[in-house]
Amino acid sequence: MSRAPTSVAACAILLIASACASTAPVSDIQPGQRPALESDEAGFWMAFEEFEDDLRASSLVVRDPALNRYVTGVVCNLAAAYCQDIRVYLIRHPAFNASMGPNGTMQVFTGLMLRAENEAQLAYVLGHEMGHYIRRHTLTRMRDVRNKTDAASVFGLAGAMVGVPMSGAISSGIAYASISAFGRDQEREADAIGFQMFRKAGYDPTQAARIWELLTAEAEAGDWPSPPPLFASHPPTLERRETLAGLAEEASDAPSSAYEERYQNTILQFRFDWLREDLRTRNFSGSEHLYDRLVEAGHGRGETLFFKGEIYRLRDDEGDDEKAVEAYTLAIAERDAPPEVFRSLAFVEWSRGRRAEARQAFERYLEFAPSADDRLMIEFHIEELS
Amino acid sequence: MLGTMRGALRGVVLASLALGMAACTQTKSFVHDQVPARPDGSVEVLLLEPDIELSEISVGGIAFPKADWTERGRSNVNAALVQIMEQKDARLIYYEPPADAPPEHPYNQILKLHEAVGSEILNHKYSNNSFLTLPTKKDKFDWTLGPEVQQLREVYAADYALFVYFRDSFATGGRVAMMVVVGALTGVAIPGGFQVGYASLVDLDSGDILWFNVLFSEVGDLRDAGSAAEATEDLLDQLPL
Amino acid sequence: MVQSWRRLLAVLLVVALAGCVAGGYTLVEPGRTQIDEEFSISSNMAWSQRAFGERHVWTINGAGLEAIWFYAGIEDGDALIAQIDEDEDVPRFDADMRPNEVMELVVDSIGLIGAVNVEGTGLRPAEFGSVKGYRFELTLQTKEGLIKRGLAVGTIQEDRLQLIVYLAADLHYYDKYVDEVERIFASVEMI
Repeated sequence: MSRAPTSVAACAILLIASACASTAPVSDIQPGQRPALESDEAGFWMAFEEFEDDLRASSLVVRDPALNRYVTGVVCNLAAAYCQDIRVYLIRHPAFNASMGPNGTMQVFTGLMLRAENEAQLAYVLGHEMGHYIRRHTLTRMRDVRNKTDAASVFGLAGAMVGVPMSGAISSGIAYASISAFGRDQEREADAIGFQMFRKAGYDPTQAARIWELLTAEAEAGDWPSPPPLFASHPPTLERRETLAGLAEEASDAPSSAYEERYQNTILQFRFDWLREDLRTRNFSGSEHLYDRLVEAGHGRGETLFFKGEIYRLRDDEGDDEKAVEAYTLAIAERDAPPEVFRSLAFVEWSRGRRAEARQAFERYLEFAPSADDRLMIEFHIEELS
Repeated sequence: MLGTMRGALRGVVLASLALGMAACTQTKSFVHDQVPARPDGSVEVLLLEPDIELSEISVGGIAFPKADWTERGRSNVNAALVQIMEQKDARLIYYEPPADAPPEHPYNQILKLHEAVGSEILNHKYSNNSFLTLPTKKDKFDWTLGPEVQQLREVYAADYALFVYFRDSFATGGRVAMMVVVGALTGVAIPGGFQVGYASLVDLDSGDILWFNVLFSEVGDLRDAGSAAEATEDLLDQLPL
Repeated sequence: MVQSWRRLLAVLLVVALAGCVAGGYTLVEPGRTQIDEEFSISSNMAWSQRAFGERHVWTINGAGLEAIWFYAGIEDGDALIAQIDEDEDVPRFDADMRPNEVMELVVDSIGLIGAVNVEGTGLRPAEFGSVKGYRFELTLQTKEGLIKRGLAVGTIQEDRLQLIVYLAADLHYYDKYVDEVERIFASVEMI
């Protein structure tokens, strides 16, 4: 076969391919707007609706009505016009993360809720995610994926002509969307829109830069080299913090609030579970940094100090027994220490050879939690220690 | 967060593709070792949210879901189901999921157990990975959801539950050109669109999976009413009703 | 969601690798069966058995429906699950562990392989064959939302953990095999 007809074929395919997905800029989505049924966008919506159906019946979702009302309230406070279009799902997961589907499915991880100091910090992240929705970033991204893979396979075809085998496997576009992140420019846009809404709603503008500061410090203290998910694709943190701090300065004249008490009171009853999930990640240094910050902030000190002790009990490095006992002792001095603190203290004292102290702590555990489900085991230990 | 069942099904499809075994339409069904006699007269069949999606294969070989095709496909399959059931003197009843129910809801648990059982069936009866074959299921087909499914029987007054799943995809013009050119140049066939489906019938008294079928086709088109009727008939082939 | 996708791929990879190394399922006839050189148990039913190193899984209808996991002679520093992400360590067994820490090890390990709302409850002293041990109950949900329940018995002898964990779908399957599982627990003989 001569070369000319094959290159004609390749060009023809390239022409068809480039016509497949529009590269024209898209306009903002309007409140209540749905894509036309024939459009590629409607396909993405449909796929995410199916995903949302799965999510709705999934165990990952935190269903407490009051907490859900609160977070949805923040969304509506940021953009009343889009309030009906966005559905918030609180996801039980210890990572600091939030995400937005093209059809208005917003996922907010409990790891984010645990780390935010106040409503303003939560609102800034929610506003950012809404920025992705309003700007229809998923659509742009999916079209981009399509154009790039089309082009790649045409180049692959060129390779095939000179004898390089090509892979013809079919993969799922939605899977691509899930693993590829928004681009940096999209993140900047979402930040700009989010910040505007956040500011208009009367939140303290300095809180946007503040949450990035907190995260940077925690990531630097952590055990793992990989950044938290929300960092992975975003503009460099320093740039972002500076931009946000600059925006905050321009906006500093209007009255604003961070709503710390309101926020902390709302999440108080959930923190125990969230801390426990965080501890299970075994990122001990990161958790230690986080818990120290939470103890200093002063909300739920007793339970936070208990979990700080748990870090040392589980890590069990040189000197950790002493650190654990110190944290448990501080926890016990607070009103909100959970009964489990005595049980943990008992085990640590036991492993240090302080049998009388261990026994006493076990007894106090049963005193505070008389119907504990491990009562038989603890009574057995008390006997062992007698 | 895709269902385990869909994941297992994808594995089966990829295995079929790798073996190049599906040039036309193929089905492989299993019938329970002990199927009780069908009640006389008309029976009621509860249709559990058919899961049907149509997509378009881009030049780069990526499947992009298409909402309008899907809508047409769903309505075609539904029409075909109604007709097939009529011929069997069976009436379709449509399941309505409880609104905003948590996973703990008993109906949700039944559906999720069916998904788990379905993925075991796909792994152990359809996969060509011999590591997954269970000696305790050799020459046997006796999977069940258990008599707890009677809750659905009572609420819907149905004798059976039917699960239907279809994925259908079509190559764009560019992809077709690509397939032709690559085929001509290298002799290697690269995949275009294909159709895959499964269905299962559950006895709402015992909970037994009475029948299970998987379909794979490179020729079907659920967008077309006639072709969708054919595909649905193939999918329900040997249905013990 | 980037993290979870990466994790999913890692899990698939681990499963694929484990499949290559471990070999397929074999039939265990009713009667007494030895689990490595550690202990033996006796069953009334036929089970499909597959081994991954010192881990063995027994099932009849598929491990996603009901499974008995045998951990025979787990040594200090060993994990119950494969490490799926090089950046994230998995919980490991320590020969000094107390019963509650063994329960935490099981709960945390199950939580790391994709289950949610994992809880260990009812920890109490119990026999492990002829030696002293303990048992506890488990509840969890798969990510898709299927509720599972479980039972575990364990002991540490000569710095090695011997552990049997039963996990099954709460709907129908748990009750179907729990008597057989209790018989297996009661039949343990140390080697």
